[in-house]
Amino acid sequence: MKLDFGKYRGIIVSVALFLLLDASVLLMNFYISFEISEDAVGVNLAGRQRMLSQRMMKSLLDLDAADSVEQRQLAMAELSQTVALFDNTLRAFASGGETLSAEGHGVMLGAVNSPAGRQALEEAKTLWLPFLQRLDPLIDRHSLGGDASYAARLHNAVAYGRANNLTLLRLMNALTVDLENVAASKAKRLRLIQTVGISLAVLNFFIIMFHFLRQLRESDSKIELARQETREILDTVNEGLFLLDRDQHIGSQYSHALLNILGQRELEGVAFAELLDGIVSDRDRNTAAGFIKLLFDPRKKQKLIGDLNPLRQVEVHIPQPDGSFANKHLSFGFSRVVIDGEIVHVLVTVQDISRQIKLADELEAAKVQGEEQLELLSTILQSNGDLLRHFLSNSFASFQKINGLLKQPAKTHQQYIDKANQIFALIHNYKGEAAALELHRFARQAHQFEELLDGLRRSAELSGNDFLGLVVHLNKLIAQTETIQGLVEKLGTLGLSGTSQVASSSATYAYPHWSLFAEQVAERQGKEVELLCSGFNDVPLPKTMEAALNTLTVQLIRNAISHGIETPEQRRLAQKPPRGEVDVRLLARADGSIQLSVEDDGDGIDRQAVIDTAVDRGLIDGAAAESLDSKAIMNLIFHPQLSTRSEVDEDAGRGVGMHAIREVVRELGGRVTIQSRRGRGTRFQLFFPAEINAVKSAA
Amino acid sequence: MLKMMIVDDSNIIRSKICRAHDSERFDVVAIACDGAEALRMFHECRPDVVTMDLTMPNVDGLECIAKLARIDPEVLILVVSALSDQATGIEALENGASGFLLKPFSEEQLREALDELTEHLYD
Amino acid sequence: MTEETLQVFIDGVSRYFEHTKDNDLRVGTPYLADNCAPVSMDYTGLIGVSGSNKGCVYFTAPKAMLRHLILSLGEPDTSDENMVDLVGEVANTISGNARRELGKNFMISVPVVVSGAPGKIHLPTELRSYVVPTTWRSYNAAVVICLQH
Repeated sequence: MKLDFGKYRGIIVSVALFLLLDASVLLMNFYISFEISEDAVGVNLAGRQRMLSQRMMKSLLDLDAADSVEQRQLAMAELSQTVALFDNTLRAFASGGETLSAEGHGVMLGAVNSPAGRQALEEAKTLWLPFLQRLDPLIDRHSLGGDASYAARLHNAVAYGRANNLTLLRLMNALTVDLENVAASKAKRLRLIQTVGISLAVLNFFIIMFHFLRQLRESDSKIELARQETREILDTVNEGLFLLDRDQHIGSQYSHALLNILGQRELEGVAFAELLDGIVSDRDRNTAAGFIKLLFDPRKKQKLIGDLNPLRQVEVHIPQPDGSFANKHLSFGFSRVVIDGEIVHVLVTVQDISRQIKLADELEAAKVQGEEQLELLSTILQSNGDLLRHFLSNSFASFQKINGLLKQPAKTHQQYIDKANQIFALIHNYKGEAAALELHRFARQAHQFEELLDGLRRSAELSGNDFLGLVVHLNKLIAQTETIQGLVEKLGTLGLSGTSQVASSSATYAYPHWSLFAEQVAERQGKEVELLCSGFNDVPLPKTMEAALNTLTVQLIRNAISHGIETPEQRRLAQKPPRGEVDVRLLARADGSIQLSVEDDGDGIDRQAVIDTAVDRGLIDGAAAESLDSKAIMNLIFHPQLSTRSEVDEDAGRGVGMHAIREVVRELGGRVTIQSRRGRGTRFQLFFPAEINAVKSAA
Repeated sequence: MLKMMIVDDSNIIRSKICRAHDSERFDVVAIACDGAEALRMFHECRPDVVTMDLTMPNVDGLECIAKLARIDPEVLILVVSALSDQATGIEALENGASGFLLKPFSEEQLREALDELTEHLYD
Repeated sequence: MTEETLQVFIDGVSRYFEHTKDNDLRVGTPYLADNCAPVSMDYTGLIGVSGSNKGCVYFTAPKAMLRHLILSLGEPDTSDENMVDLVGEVANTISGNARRELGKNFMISVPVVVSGAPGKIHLPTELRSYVVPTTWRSYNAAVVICLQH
């Protein structure tokens, strides 16, 4: 770890100063204490000089008064010892040197250099030297003893001693006092130094504290400011932001938006995998872990692995407190955080892109729907508005009927078969109308519907569940029909699509439309046909009746072409004109009843084929077939499961057409007759009583 | 000049990479059509940089990357793949590749990817 | 919304009845119903669905059937509480089955049981729902599925 010396210089200098101060005070303390202890020795020895001056005098007087040799010797020994000690010590005081301590050790004394001390010493020296001169011979000659000169010298010394003894004592006392004063002043100085030292240390301490605290406060407030800024950023930013460490755990700080995006949760220290658990697929979660691991590998190029991020756009399901799930599209971004060349963290950004995705999806859906609608639109624009509206209301009616049939309870296989047959009749009708209006999309779907039904009718054991696919299909058909109705309504308000035509349909009827339909059917079958229509514009009809007649006519035209009219080749062989004719007429009788006839000049009904098919399908048995009369055979044609054409296509062939027609006619209270001659043609006639017309009119 | 090897089973991709790379910096020394061929050529010409497809006949890309990285841990491998399955891409990088370029790519994208891959060699 | 998806929900109910003594739950012909007037009986167990398909799925049954069912499960207490419990259990089975079969894209909520007033079920009116009538013994119940794409 590197230390920033610049930042800490102040504090380091302060602390060093503090230590230096402490050390010097300590040093001074040592030194002065040592000096004081030396001075104490000086004071002691000076005090001894005081005492020695008196002992010296006393032993001199003892010597003088000695009666015996013994006493003299004793006094002489005392005298010589004290004189030597006094002299020695005085010299040591005067110019430094060794003397003996009270305990008899050698002690070094420094020369006294205080003025008063020096003066006392100088004076003492002036007194002492003559005294010593008088004493020395006394001591030296002592061994000789007893002569006259000795007594004179003794007397001389005693006299000198007597004269100066007190002065010498005073001087030694002065020396002692001086030395004591010096020691006392040193002790005082020591106290002063200690006081100053401690004061300086305290001052330093306060400086350090002040300085340090200020720096601390400053850096604290800087940190706090930075922290607050970070917090503000994290609280305000719209993206989820957080750091991941090498173990893929979330750091302590993350943006507030993250909680909103991922649902309220505590995230600090949570493993990233745990965060993803349950909201994305296990597979994506594992891939993400692998991806983040790559980001911590410095050998992998960050810019070149972006495509491997499995969470760049991911749909998540976030559990809500009420037990449901919120769906969101999120975008996770990952980038390395590099400090000093080392990848320390991965910064993760999370964006809620649900809106963008939704818009894009809607745009795409709108595009698809737009294309579909355009296709429908072109059809609608080409169609007659009234007819289209008939078709639509008929369609909804049919769908409702189909749904009604589905809803009816059924238990046995036969009941289910009947249900399928009835539905078949309705959807077949619908298919016819759709084809007539060239709504091929609907015709195709109706055809698929028929195929589903066909599958049902063939199965050996039916149950309700088998109708599931049918219902799904029905729902789709309804939805699409609703779409087209919406379009028609929109166009109606725009005044397009012939919807502004006169409401009364008696004005014009759609021959051109039927002709077109007839041509299309013929073309698909490789046939040629001409449609002749008459009477429709002469007979006033209520809307509902008109719609029903439209359905029936379309169905009959289609049947005539599919089943009746032969191919041009066959017609040539039969010596007929290659172009077949279908004649459609509507007649109103005086009693108000209506008659619709559709006649073709085709091959006529092949009765044997009808019988064979019926036997083949198990509708009748072989024996019964033998005894069928003409009317019974014609009745077979109305059986829901009969078709004499071998192929099945959009136009015909499922044999429900006639069944459906009879159902519709019966519903209107009418009846159907068929006349057919082999090789010459077939005529269908539909009769509707007057009162039906009237009642429907009123409704 | 860096020696480059192209490994891809698609002729179109191979020639696109040949055409698009910066010829002042890269010298294409080998072109392999599958993993087995790539391993053989790698021993011969020791390229510095390899562009590698993942789905190839014989030895597939993942295995090939692992082997190349074992032979030369310093080799820089750029995965060039259309895989929409990110887990496989990540496995390729775990095996030793250094970068991933998603097909289809523009010539510009390829040049940038190769620059990025080798950028640390020019510092 | 596919036939397969619908089947999964229907199977969920059938699965529940497999555990009963008379496991002959018969499925009638499904049909469409306008969401303005949702099909509902005495007790309804409802689960919410989110994810790629949004909407709800519910099982609705009459009191008499539930009473009989409780008894057939060997439980003598046919209190209101137990009926709610039972319907919730059926809804749970539906959701469990759907979770297993339909995977992550179908997020299914915890079942909610609505009793009595049929007005409490709100469905998006612009959609139609699929009604699958079911018969157990002589009682009629229904599974209703209303999901948008």
